[in-house]
Amino acid sequence: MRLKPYYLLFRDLIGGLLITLRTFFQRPVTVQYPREKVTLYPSFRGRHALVRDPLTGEARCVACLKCVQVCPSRCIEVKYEVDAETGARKITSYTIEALRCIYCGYCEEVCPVGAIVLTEWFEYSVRKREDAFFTKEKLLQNWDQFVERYPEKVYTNKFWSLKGIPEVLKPAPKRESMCIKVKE
Amino acid sequence: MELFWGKVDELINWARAGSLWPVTFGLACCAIEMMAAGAARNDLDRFGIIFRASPRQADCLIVAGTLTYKMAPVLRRVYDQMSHPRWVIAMGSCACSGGVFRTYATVQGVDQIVPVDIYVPGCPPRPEALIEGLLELKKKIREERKNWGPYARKELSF
Amino acid sequence: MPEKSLASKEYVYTIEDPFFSPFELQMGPQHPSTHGVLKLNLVLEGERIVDLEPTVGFLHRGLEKLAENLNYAQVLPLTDRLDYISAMNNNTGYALVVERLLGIEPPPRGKYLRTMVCELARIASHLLWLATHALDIGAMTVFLYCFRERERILDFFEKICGARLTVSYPRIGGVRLDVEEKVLEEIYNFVPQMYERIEEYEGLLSQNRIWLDRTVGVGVITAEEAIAYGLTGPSLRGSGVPYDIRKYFPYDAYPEVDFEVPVGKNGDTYDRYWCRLQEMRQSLRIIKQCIEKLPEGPVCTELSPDLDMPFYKRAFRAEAWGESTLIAFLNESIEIMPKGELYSAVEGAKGELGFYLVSDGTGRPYRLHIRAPSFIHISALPKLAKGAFVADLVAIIGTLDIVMGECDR
Repeated sequence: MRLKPYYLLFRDLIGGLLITLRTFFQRPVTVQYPREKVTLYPSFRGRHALVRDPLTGEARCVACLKCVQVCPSRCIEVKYEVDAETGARKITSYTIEALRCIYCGYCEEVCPVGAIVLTEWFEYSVRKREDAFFTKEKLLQNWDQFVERYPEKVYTNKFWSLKGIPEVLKPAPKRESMCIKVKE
Repeated sequence: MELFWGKVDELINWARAGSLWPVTFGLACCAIEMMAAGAARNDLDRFGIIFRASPRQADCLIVAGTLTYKMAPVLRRVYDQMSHPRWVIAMGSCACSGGVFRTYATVQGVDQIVPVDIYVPGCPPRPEALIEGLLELKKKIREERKNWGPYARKELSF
Repeated sequence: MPEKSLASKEYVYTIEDPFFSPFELQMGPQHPSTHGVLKLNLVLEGERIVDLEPTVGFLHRGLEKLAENLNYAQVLPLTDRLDYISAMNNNTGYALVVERLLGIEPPPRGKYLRTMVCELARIASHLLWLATHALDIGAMTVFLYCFRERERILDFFEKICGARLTVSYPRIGGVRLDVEEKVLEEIYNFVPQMYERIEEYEGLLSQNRIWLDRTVGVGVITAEEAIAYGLTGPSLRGSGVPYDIRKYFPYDAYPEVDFEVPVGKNGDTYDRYWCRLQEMRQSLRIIKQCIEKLPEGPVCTELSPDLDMPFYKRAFRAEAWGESTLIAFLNESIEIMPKGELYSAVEGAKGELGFYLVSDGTGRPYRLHIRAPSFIHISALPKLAKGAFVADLVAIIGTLDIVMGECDR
């Protein structure tokens, strides 16, 4: 083995070096992050936001508490009050502790009215831990910030429509595809 | 005279922020995204960030992953071995608060062991989110005033 | 708790012969290499290892105990974090054990999609293994090339389900949502490009004399010893035993696709490396067949015990008719699942990943135990490393493919 021409002429090492030389002349795959914005595919599970209803301008949440029950890390906390005459529920406070969330997407899947979404916004590092406790106003603000950069006029989310799942498993309002008009 | 000290501050902060060398403290899943941030597509080397193995040669500590009570003394020892100035980034849900693991064995947040400067949320955060967290840290370093020489801020352990 | 120190064994530490008397060294939990948090107490004589004692548990997060307090559906994102490099396989394993206990099966399209993403995850895991193994041995170029390919696969995962690493894509009863046509086309076009890349890695490593010197004959384990230590997966197949759960106890769409199982000869590091490269090629073959044969239809069965399930209540005659099903799940006294215990295993990227589930009828598992291959493989580490140099130890830890998230749970 040691005296064969393949070995003496370093053919194996030269073969490896030729591969790296070939890669040297190809286009680099580096994405220059702060200058080139990364395009995320829709329904990436990023920062949470409460959807602002285009008609009323408020959050669409009806305090059914399904997201509270389904969250594996129990980071959602909802307080509501019941209206005396109509019996309707209205939320008084809605907090998400974003530093506990595991971004599984169960809350946006199970919500029957499509009130909470995980938007594609991922750049929100904070300096103090309290800044990441999202209250209802902050969540609505997140939605406004996200909508400003959203290119389309109508917002849909893959986890709302759940293509391919039999209709009988979905909550009733999501059986037709649900979408929100965000811009004129 | 204040102008002069301001210029000295700027120079020192620019030097420190420009070559931030983290020590690898990858524990769990977030370590994979930290490696991906240092690899080909999102290159950390173009920011001057080189991962050093030894804490004596590093100035920032990126805690990536879940910290358990068994590992906590090791983290404190590594943090103590770093020389001033030093900063800590808590990456991912498990490091910032305990994450989904509210159990007997998990420390509920790295800030119970070491003081944290920047929290990067996500589970795991995208490599670009980690880069944004590092850029936030650079901004924070640039905002420091008079953190050199006799005025250096040496915090005692709590 | 005081740890058992190796000084309790009789090693004679003499002053007269400082070069060859044994001394104890700790390769601590904070590694510069990226195998996670593993502490190794080495007893060295010069540069040769005389004894080795691994300490695990630095990443023990209490996952199995946490699973006793959560719903069956809520445990699924937890299982992502076990073998976090190929998350789809863990999710499939858990979904499989719950499905088998309930007696339901996913529809054909769900099975094919699950198989396809499991094989993609296997390729991603082997790419990361190759990257870190080669980096430890010294080849840094392979690290960057493998991560370039791995980024493409993680892009596919993001397009399919929204997250790169900790997907929770397989669901109990199928998959979470359907894949679009364009994404399937992109994966189909990715397959031949990946074949070329594997050729590149082979060109850089397989005939390279440095690689051969460092891996041939290092960490040899024979077939009988491997079976005795309980190794599975590529670590076992490198020693010549053709045991693969996808062939022996097939699940999902594996009976309908054809592929081969690569088997090594000598049981050393080079054979395990070769096995994993061939496995990547076979995985590409499976992915291509899955995309070609993908049937139409729903991706999740109607009997899936999932987040909102009016149909499932009817199927199992739960008594809580007026309440929502989640409250039924949380209420302990209502019988929803069949009682019993079941073990089922899938072929994870590292070996046989098994789930043992004990159910007492309520909506939470009574006990979920995870048979993690990395934990079993670490027990074989002293056998492989005795008599080797410290530099070989790095290669041996790399070749066993240990992930501490899985080992410690």
